[in-house]
Amino acid sequence: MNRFITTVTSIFLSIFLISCGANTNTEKTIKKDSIECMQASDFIVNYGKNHAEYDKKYLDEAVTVQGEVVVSESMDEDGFKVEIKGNGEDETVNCIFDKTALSKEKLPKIGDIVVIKGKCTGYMEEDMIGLKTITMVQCLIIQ
Amino acid sequence: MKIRVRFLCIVFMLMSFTSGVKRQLWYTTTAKITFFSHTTVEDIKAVNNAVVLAFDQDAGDISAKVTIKSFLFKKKLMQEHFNENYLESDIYPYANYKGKILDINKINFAKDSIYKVKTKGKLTIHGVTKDISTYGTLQIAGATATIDAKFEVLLEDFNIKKPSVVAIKIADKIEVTIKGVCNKK
Repeated sequence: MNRFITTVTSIFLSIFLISCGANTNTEKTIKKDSIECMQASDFIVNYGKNHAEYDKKYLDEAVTVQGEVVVSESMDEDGFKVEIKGNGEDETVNCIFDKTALSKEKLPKIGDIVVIKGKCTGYMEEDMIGLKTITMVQCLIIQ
Repeated sequence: MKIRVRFLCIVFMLMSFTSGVKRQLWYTTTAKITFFSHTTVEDIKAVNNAVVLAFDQDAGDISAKVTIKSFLFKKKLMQEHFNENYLESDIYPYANYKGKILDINKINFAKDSIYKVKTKGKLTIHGVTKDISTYGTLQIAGATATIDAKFEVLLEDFNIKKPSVVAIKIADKIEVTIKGVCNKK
């Protein structure tokens, strides 16, 4: 009888622990995704202020950015490019799409507000022209 | 006294004149850099379409900046090795070039044509900076200026080591091609 109780208790305990683990993982994923979604203008400003810290946090990570499209074009065999505006015309998030990830017909129009997810590859400042840009590759249009 | 006043006036006029001169700048955020390695065993190619390229039409200053993690390979495993083992892109996430287009005053930006150009400058990859000279072309076509250049990079110059296991598959000299269609700023 004791062995039976021990076995049943062990099974329930195992199921409980496994389910807890599964829940934790799901929660982490959702939480991470929601944290990464940000306005393009904020992302550029904050990246510029905390360059080293943001490199550690975002390089090679999937991020989701929202903003207004200022450039939307095909790069022929190399896919597509969409630029999202920051605070001014010299601040952009540069989104590169693989040619399989988008089509000419589905390219957003200039002025559209889009949400784009991609892999962040870094932040660059070009002193000569005063440009600040964040680059994302392997992008997908979320909205 | 009069001479001193005249002199000051001239200096003031010159200062006003020079500060009013606007430099003509050209740039693109989607210049393309291609790395190509050829060996008898394997050809390896990586492409980066997110290069920030800019130049000054008057002074000849030219600059190119790139994020290493934007280089895309056909094989994902190669891309991983490129970032983790060779370029160590977590430690050195950026590469850049700063230099001068020589004799830029000989280029007529008002006339559509292809001009041969030479640049001299400093290339920084993998945390190492080296002097580099390149030859290329600058094509003026309407409102665009297309820069096209090709040069070779010795891996050992930039302290990039090849693991012995794959050494036979990776060339010691990597061919680098850059092309950018620039617009006026």
